[in-house]
Amino acid sequence: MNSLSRWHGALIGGLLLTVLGVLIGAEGLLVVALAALVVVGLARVSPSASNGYRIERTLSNTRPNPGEPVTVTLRIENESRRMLPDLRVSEDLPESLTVVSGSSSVGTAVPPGGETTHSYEIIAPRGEFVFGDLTVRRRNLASTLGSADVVTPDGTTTFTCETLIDSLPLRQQTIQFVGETPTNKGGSGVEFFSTREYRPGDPLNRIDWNQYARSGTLSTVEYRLERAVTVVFIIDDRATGHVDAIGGGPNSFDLTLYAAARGMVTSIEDGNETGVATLSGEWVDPGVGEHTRSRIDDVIETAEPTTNSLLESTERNSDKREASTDNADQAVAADGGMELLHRLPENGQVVICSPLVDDGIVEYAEQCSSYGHAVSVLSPNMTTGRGVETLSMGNRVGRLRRQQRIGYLRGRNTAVADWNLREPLLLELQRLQRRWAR
Amino acid sequence: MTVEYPTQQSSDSDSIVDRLRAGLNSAAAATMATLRVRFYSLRFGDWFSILLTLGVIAVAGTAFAGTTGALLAVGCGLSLTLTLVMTNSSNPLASGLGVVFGMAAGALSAAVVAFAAYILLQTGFSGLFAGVGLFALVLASTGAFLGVAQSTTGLAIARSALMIIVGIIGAVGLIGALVAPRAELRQQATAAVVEAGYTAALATLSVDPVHALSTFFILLAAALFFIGRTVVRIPFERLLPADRRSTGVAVVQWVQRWRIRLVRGSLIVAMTTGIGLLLDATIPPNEESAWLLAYTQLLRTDQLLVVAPEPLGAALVSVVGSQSIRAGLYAIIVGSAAVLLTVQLVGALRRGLAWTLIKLAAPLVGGIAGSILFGILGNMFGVTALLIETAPAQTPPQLLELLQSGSLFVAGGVVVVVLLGICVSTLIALGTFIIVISLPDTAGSTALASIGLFGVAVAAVVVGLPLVAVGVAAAALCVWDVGEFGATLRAELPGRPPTLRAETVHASGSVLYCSVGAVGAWLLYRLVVPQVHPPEAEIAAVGLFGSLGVAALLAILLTRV
Repeated sequence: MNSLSRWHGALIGGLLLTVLGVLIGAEGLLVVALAALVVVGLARVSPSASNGYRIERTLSNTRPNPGEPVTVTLRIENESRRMLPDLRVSEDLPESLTVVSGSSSVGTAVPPGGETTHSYEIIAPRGEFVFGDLTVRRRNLASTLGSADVVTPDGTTTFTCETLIDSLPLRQQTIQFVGETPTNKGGSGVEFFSTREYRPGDPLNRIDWNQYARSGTLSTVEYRLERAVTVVFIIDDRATGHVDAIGGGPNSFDLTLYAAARGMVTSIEDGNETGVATLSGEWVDPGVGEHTRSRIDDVIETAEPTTNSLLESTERNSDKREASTDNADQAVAADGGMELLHRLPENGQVVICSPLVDDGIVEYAEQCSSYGHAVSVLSPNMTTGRGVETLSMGNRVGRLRRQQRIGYLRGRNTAVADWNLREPLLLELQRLQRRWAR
Repeated sequence: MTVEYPTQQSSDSDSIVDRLRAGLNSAAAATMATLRVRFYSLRFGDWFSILLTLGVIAVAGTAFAGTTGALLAVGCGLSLTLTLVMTNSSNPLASGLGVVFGMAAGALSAAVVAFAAYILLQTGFSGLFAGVGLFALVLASTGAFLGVAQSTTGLAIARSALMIIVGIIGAVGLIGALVAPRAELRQQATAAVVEAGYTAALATLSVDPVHALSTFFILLAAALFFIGRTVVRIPFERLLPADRRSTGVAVVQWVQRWRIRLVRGSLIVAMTTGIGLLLDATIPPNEESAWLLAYTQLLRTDQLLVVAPEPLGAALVSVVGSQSIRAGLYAIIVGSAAVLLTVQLVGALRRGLAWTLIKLAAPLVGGIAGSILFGILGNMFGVTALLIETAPAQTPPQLLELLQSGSLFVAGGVVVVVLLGICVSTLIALGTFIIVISLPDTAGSTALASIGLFGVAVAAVVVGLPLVAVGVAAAALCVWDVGEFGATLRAELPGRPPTLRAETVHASGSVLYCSVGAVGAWLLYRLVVPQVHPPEAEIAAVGLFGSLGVAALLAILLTRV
């Protein structure tokens, strides 16, 4: 261990006062000098700190969803018979990881044979992350001897943050195939819907025999008809339509992709014909088979924010229209956004996945709606920062403008799932489902 | 002709009042936010060392300087801390308020000096050490109140002094604006300024043997310091060919290292000889002190000329006692400071004109507001009249006449200028002390508190309180140990990681060591003291100055340059 120069001042002062006290006969000075010298002497003979310790790192979840906090726990165990009076542990996290609760460093003391734990929470963007070594600085009780160790802890060293899938409720614009999306029509299904007068040919197992026993009239039970829907998820992949998270963590594109992926796979599992489109021109025809799943996976895997989106060409074209009204027809013909609208299947639902940070996507949702498609918007709210207590003025303005956009869309009968990042996505989807049920 | 309706007037005055209120609210909020951040950022170790320091100041300060002395010292430390912290604030309103606190710091510094002088006159030799102990108390309380504020660097103190000087300019500007339109007052003021300037020039160029040796080395250190700061601004390396730049840079760095050593050495010589000359000037000659005075008087230049070897003594005295050399050193200091300030100001104005002007205007307004406030309060409570009555004999009579005949704001302004001047002097003294002892960057305030307490311990010994002294010495070491430990934790583990367990364990160990050290020292003292016999006076004097020199060398070698 290295000697730390903390007591030079006291040593010089003590020696000086001793010399002065002896030479000029001011014996009182000796008492001050001796106090300094005795303390310095005791500090010098303080035993060094043991290196018999072990550190283990555990993660609460090694495959978190984007935006989901992961608790990192460091367990420090003193395997020696001496106390570790001062142990300073620092974790060098990968740059893209953000600590949202607690601290990745700790200064602690561990009794002989004892242990202590330290936890903190991080959130990560999409990707695979490798924890590095720990820097551990040890000092003895008097802090006169110290050393710095680079320690490879036991336990987890890597974790992956990827897009996972859950259910996304869809609106009642169904196609004529049996699926798992409930409708407001009676028929064959599982959930009770209503009773009606018996008609010849109704199956015997749907006759309400209790009713017959009470009133002597035959009636037929109807169950909520479950139909399949055709749904196309449009992912807003414009670079200009995305922002970084306030206070770190996954950006709006990662979260948008995550939300879209959850909805799409659930939709497929519910038997809905599901397709995907991006504003940069990617297109997967709605379907339910393995081929569709595989193509959706490819789109999700390779999706990146781009500056070359159909919507931006729409904006550019509209600028051109303003500049030159003579070429208006040609401009509309070349409009990529319109082309995507034409590709959407008739009677198909549209779920636009976007953080709603600009007006362009709102206009596009209106366009989809005007073409007769039931439009829903699934939007991660990027104005709710994690680990940030107060928002800047710019962020507050951004939040107000986003709320205005949501209000505007809802006023035009467009359902908006406003996903607050502090809550699980599923909660917001359930809220959206309740709103549709009304 | 325009008609101004009553409602308009009311609205305008309301808006001004509202603006003033909003400004004051903003300044108060900024101050509270700064204090909250300071308190919030304090860790266990910081609280421990701060409370221990203040507790020791309360007990030990009362024991040897009385309640008044202890309160004055704590008040002075607190006002100095507030001045330092607020004048270093990035909020212009807070820095303006810092100038007002600077007035309080100046007044309390003057009160501490007066109290120390009073003790000295009352008790003689031991009173001198009681006075030194009082200054040590001020140092300790300043360190304690500063806490974790990074305001113990030379740069922070220089910035504070600059802000206060701008405040002085504001007060002078107010006096000028009030005096200039009135011919009679203008003549009086001109005469007062000329007289005061003449007195100041005589004082600064004075080569009185009582202080010449010490003040010369202070001036030398200041000149070297400012030359170095100015030379750093000149890009020498760009004047050299590319292949020789590294050599040129190395030479400049070597020169700068030695310049810093020379500055520190000059200051140590100035302080050592200054203490000797102070002893010579203040200790009443009697049998008890005759042996010491026989040697301290050798530090006077008239005596040095007699006893020093012929060519060396004459050369030294001719240099130290030369007014032209002093004038040259002053010219270097003032010229370098002007160049530095100009470069700094031009750079700041280039970076942001409006912001720089606002930051400069804030202390200016602080000085003016302080003058008005003090003028009103001074007139209301008769303080101005009292100050005029009790003014030192050296005060130019023209100045006193001006104070009597001018408006109450003129009197307030003059008093504010004096108070802020004392505050600047105190800050310069603090900065000099910090340069000499080379406080560590991370634990400067803790070191200041610890050194202050150690000084209190030494003073307590001299005034005959050895038991108090050993306790205070142990507390000084404990304050340093725990405070420095917390500071290194803060530096090594940024943010607010949990460190309470490590800090409590270390603090417990520290209390144990220091308690054992104090008890051991006391026992050793009781055993050793009867065996100690003072040597002959000549040997003692040689040992005294020899040990001071060795300590200075050790300090230079062991501390980082």
